[in-house]
Amino acid sequence: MSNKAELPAESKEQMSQIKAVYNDGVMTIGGKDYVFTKLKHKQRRKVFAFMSRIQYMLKSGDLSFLDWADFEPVEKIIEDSILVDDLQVSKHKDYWDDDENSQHYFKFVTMAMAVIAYPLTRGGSGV
Amino acid sequence: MASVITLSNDSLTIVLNGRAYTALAEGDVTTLTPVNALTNRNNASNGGVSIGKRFDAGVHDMVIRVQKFSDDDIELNSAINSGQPVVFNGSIKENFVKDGQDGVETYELQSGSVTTQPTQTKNNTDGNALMEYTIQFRNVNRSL
Repeated sequence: MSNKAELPAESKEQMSQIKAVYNDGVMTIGGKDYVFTKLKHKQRRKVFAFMSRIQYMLKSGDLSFLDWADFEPVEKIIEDSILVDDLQVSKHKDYWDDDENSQHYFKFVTMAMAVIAYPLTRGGSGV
Repeated sequence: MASVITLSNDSLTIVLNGRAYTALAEGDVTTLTPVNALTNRNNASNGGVSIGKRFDAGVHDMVIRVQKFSDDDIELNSAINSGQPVVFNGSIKENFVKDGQDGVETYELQSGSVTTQPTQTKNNTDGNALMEYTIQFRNVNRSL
């Protein structure tokens, strides 16, 4: 029985990139460093659970989940726990309204979810 | 020409031991109070004075107010219940805009530990929805 609860990024290269970002605690997108702070298990679990729902959507290019009400608490976890320019992303006023930042939003969200959920995926399903 | 400085009402980022605190109470979120004076002064006759900078001038008490029962409350409460004293390091950062330019005020917090433990009052009318923790830091540096 295959492990269905896998991250969308299944290729070895993507997984190694996620692992590297997790170990470093920093991801660089668009020339900006986004620093991950510590999270509680329940926060990671929420992100991981959401990712498991949308993995097939991501593979098929369906990004409608970005507008789901269910995505908002996940986005809040991400933006409260990641720092850019020394402040939480959530504390930067209208951060994603800036054209320079908005072009990187999708990569930021998908990468952040993958890195936050990474500790829960390392053990696999055990089956 | 006078500077125009604007501040957002929720632009504070508090990070302690790598963890961002998000369940901060409304109003006074945190207070940083220097414990000691910056300099020692010894006055002498004829208007003389000797001034020395105190080596412990950087000691500060930080009071942080978090929502009761939140993850932040749980984290700080676990520090109190820990068998070994938990040492805190971190920062408080607040952004501002000065004459159209973004700026960040930073307090670097070094070698802290919980000192005054939170008091608890149960109120059956007004409610009591926050917890106050006092962490004393060996050194706090402010930069702009």
